[in-house]
Amino acid sequence: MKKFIVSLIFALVGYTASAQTEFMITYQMGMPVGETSDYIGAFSGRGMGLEWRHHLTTTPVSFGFSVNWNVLYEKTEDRYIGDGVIADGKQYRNMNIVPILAHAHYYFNQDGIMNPYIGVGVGTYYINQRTEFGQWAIIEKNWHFGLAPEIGVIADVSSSLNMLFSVRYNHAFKAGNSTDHSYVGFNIGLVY
Amino acid sequence: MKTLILKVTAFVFAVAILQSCYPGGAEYTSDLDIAVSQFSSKEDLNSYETYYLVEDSMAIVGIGTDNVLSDAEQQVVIRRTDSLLQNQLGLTKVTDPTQENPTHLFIQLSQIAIQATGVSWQPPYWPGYPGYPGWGYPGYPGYPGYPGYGGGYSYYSYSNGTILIDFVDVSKTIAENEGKEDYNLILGWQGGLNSVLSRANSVQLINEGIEVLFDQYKAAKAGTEN
Repeated sequence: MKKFIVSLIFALVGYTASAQTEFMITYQMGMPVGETSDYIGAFSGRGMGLEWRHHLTTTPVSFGFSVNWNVLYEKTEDRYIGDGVIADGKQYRNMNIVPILAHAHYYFNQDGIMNPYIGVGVGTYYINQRTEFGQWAIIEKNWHFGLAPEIGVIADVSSSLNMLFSVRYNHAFKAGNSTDHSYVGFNIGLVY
Repeated sequence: MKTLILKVTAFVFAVAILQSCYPGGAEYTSDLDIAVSQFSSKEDLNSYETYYLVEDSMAIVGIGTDNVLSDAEQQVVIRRTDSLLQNQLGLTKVTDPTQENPTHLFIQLSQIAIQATGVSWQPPYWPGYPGYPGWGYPGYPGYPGYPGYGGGYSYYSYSNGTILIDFVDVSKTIAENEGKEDYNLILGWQGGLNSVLSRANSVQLINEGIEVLFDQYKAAKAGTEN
């Protein structure tokens, strides 16, 4: 699986985009909020994303698709108190989140050096939640429906390279035994 | 130049993929130590005032292996537990309970030195409760339910290196087994310590763990949150 993903990345970055299509590769940081922050409260610097945007010629709008990967992690020694159960010990909490989203964006200054935009993503969030406790791990895997409103700016830093800065609120709705999950993503990327 | 940037970027992300799935975890065997307890009700815990402790020895599951506490080590743990029952939990010891003068709790310490996941078990040695010969462990309810998050899964397992402390509710057990030949023990509280087996035979660690378990008992009794 890892070899496949790595091969995919190399293949994609070698893709020559047309004038109306942009390919983006982003480094993503994440701040858990809401019920997710009750489980993992730590800021995460582990994440990446691949995104394609196809721009319409008549209006400053693009439609696109992205595959992202965010990792949240926290070590805690909080006492666990449940229904008739109390536990003490070190816990290693991990969340591997893979948002797969369809996007729409609107641009305010498409021909300018700084091009701010707003957008929204709709799709699915695959979340693998793993709590390591003693010699055991509690693992929960679910596919969530989710939304991702976003604001950002694309900066024209050279004739052949643009950069992207964005803030994306990710919200994955309750699925299976899991609660809602949400986090704010801070993304920095290259636009080809 | 652009091609070089693309290749470097792709390489950095490829490395990130390979390294970042589970960024943290236990580094030392001590990181694997856990103490878990379960109880039936806060009201029951508050009703317990007296106890009888099995002092002959601990019930060892896995006799024949070298990885169990020696008789002398067992006695150190039992003595410490006895002291904590009185000083930490404020319970009163009863040394010679009878059917006419029963104690509230019948307490047994056990060590598990075999791997047994998802099954109930029966200790090979049960010293018998004074006045109630023949009590066994049929229908043992299992290791404390493993805590989950957000209604998640609940695992339970007996594992190498588990120390169990069982508080049998005597009055409920008598009521449950009225007129029956085989006894089922009703537990009012149960504590479990788990670590890797090499650490599970440390008397000091067991004693410290029992203090943690009894602190959990007090928290459960008081109904405190976190």
